[in-house]
Amino acid sequence: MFKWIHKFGSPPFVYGFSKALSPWIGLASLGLFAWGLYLGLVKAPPDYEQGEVYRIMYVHVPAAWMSMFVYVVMAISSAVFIIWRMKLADAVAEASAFIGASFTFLALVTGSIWGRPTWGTWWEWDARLTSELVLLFLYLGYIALRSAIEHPQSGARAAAILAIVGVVNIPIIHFSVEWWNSLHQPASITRADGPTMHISMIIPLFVMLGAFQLYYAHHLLVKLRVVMLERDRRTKWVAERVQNGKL
Amino acid sequence: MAEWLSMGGRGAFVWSAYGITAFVLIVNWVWLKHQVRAAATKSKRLAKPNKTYDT
Repeated sequence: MFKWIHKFGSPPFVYGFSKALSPWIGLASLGLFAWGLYLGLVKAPPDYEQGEVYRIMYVHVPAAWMSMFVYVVMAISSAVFIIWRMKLADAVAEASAFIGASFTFLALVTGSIWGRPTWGTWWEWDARLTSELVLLFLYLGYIALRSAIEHPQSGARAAAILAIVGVVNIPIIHFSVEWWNSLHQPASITRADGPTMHISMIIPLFVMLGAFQLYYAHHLLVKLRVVMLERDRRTKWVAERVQNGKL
Repeated sequence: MAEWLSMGGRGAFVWSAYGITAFVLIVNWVWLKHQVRAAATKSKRLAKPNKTYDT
């Protein structure tokens, strides 16, 4: 077990692993997107209250879930980096920041587009929307902090601390609709008494969530290669890969 | 087909949400491919035979 974990701390191993696996994950993601779009836009019935506009859910909800999931990945990686000084964990956090910010941006924009016809407003300063906006600022702050500090090691440590502290915002986002009065609807899937949606509407949602998850996995693996090449450019393993034509 | 595209009169909202999502995901993917190519090119330029490398 520990041998296996140790392997994932080695950049040459992770580079090869990423190169072998990322195209297949990318293809699987593409397949799930096609299937999810077909189910969500064609097969799923219209909602009895919202009509067809509820179909925005199939991009909005996965983007919102991913915005939180990627941040948790970033925070855990940052903690591993701070505690065990594992450089690859920091690389995972760095590689996740921009795509996490993109998911958060998408959650906010698609939510706003959904809000206009259902609530009659593009934006409301309520707890769910505001805490999601704070999440976007946390991602942007992380990216800015890393690039603002000249010494890479100090920049990585400062950004890691920000990522760990910022994780407190994740339960706030999740429970905001229960803790405060909100325009945003309460949870429909993750409820103790079961989902309030029909199965024909839930299946496309989970297919799209799978597509978003695999898109992130593909993005993370490829971006890790970029980060590792930038950091280890002058090391022997990169030189050997260049000489063997395996970059 | 036209009925499906109109999405019950809410087509502008539905399709703009899907369009923005597709745009962001595709731009991210294209930008990532560009970064991979740039990083590989730079590494190839810097890797010279008979050089002592960091381990």
